Amino acid sequence: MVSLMELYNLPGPAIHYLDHAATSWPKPARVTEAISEFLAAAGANPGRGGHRMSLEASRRVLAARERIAQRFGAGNPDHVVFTANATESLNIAINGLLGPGSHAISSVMEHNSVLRPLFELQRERGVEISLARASGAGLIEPDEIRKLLRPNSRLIVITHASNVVGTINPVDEIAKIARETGVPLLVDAAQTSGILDIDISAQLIDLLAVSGHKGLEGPTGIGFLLFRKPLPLHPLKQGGTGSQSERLEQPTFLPDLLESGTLNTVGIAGLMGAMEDVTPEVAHESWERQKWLTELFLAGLRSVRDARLLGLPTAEGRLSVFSLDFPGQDLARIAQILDDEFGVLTRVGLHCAPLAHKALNSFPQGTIRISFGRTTDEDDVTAALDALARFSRE
Amino acid sequence: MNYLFTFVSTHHAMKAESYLKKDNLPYRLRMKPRTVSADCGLALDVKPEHITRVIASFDRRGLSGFTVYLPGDEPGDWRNVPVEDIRGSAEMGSEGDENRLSGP
Repeated sequence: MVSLMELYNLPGPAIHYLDHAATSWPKPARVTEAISEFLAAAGANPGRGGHRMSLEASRRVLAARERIAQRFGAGNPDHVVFTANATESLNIAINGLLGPGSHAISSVMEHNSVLRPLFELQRERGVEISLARASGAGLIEPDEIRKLLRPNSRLIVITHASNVVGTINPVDEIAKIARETGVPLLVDAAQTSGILDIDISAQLIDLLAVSGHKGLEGPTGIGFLLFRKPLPLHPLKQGGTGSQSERLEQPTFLPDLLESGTLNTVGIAGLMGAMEDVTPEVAHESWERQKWLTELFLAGLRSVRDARLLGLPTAEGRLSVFSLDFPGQDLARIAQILDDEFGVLTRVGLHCAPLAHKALNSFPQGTIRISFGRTTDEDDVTAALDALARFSRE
Repeated sequence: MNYLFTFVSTHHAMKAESYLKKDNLPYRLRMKPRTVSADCGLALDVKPEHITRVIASFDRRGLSGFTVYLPGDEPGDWRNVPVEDIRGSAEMGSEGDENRLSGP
């Protein structure tokens, strides 16, 4: 629980930030320190000159790639491509791998950052798309993926966990199918990176799209795409890389192939600050606590008579991301009152995943999404349950 | 005469520097001379007495994507030195080749 009054001298109730699936908050103190320190000591452009400040910026970018490669089991820092966010990472991979006549397999549980590029490619390049169905809890069964394989399948793209209901998908089993058939697997780890352990080498994940500002707790505007091994992939954009500048063609090696334009060094510095604070050990402790808070929340929710929980009913197999419906009531109004009167900050709507809501019977009204993070405590959970109870009709 | 290493990208130059630091091998990171063609804007200056250990350091980590030069006959000229000549009959590392991609 954080008091807005204390932080910014603003009026209003103490706030219970329960929108971590959108972005984590508050950020670790080391994030702002690392950003300030970077701008003061090494704020030049990496890879664009030989002077000492540019070199220092370049060294820090390499150190960041090495830290990320180690954390996620990428064998080589070359295989860490910095992007603006998971959406850009997904777009690079999807657009780069799918040409005319190719076929892609995905699922109805995907975010629009997967669905929109796929359907654009269907319209523009004639790419064929098959979407796996989900269970009533939003789970993608590996056999559903297997059934959709075709000789021209060139990509399987699956979310690691639903951003709507938090259901964790069996990516290891899906990776085995991808391995058996030689179709690359792209995993959208926007909701799981920094929360669940991910090792792309051990788990045979060919491509991993990561957001830096959610579970990893960095600033917004930084993400990355990880390669288990380089894949023949056409770059989404071309431009200055600081390498092979005499040529009019894009470099063909990673990471330069996919990193045109000046990198978001400030974001990288902030992300490194977050990863220094939120080590894997800290993340493990947080995850265990979130599972306990999930049990607490789900137990309390059973007493909120009019609330309908979508997705899995227990703490098993899920993240601490919850979608609620109050049938017959205006969810936006409820979310507004939760904020105004109770300081409970949630998100209402479709959460950029329209097909997931169709599968879960919550389209077009959507849901109220409550999502926990490392800083969520028992007080936040109790406050949310007390506030939600007000919307059960007598 | 010192050897000059150039790299396909700043990323590769930074990796090279990190390896030499780890192996405690002396070098000087500098701006690439204008007369050396291509690659990124950085170069590593290495003394002759360290050259075989520098190459061994790169080989051990599978680093490629670099070119080695010595000063040429004319001032400002540089001549390419085949790495094989330095390391004897050993083969180049394969990492750079692995990372060389081509789009559909």
